[in-house]
Amino acid sequence: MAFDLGTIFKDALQAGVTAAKPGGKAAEDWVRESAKANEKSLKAIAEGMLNRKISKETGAMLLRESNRALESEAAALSAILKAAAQAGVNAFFGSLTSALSAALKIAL
Amino acid sequence: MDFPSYPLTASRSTGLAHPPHGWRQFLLAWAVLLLSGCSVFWISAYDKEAADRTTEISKQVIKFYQDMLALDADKRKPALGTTLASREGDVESLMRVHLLKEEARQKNEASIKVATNMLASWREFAANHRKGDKTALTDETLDAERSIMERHLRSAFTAEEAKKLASSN
Repeated sequence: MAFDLGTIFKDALQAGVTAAKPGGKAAEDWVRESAKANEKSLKAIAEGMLNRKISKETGAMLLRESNRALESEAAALSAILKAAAQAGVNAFFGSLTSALSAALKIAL
Repeated sequence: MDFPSYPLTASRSTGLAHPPHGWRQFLLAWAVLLLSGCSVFWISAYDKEAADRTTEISKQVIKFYQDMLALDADKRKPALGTTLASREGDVESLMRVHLLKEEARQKNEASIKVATNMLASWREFAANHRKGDKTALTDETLDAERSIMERHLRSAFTAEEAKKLASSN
């Protein structure tokens, strides 16, 4: 019986990368969406202020709240990244454990 | 006293590395045992109830702005004291309950942050509707507020949906 630790690790790494990949794509999409939404908000506030439909005070309040929304978007991004990392790490360990278990059964 | 000695090199005929078979199996079993307990938990599991609460808040927030924008600009402030009087308070209650429930979940910092921010923005807007200057209830201000609230709500949905990724292997 021979078992190749190198291959086991390589497969585990591949399992981890595959599991984390959807999270990476979701994060990229979210950053794009968030940037667009932020631009839209700022544009609407700026135009309103320019047309005097939004006063300086109200505009300042809206800008503060737009920044707060940006914080929410960053928090959502952190959730995506954590979830992707968790999926990747657990898939890595899962693959490693099952490969080593299989090797152990053969050895016994 | 003689200690048992084991050859340290692999035997070409078997292709196995030494230490010998029993010792190698023990190491392998030890590695399996160690790894089998290895899984990380960095984020809470997806909760449909949290998504449903966010949907309910979204409906109420969007409806509030629709109703406000449907009124003539000069009728908005009086409506906040009559027909729409309880609406802002009702939405705030929903948001507070949502925040409490989010806080009760383990490893849920992102959703707590979003729920906290959403409530803070809503309260700021509600206060401005009542005490703000003459542009506090213009179409432009309400549109900008709605767009900001939608960003919080989208963040809440995204943070919750992201949790599904953590368990998708």
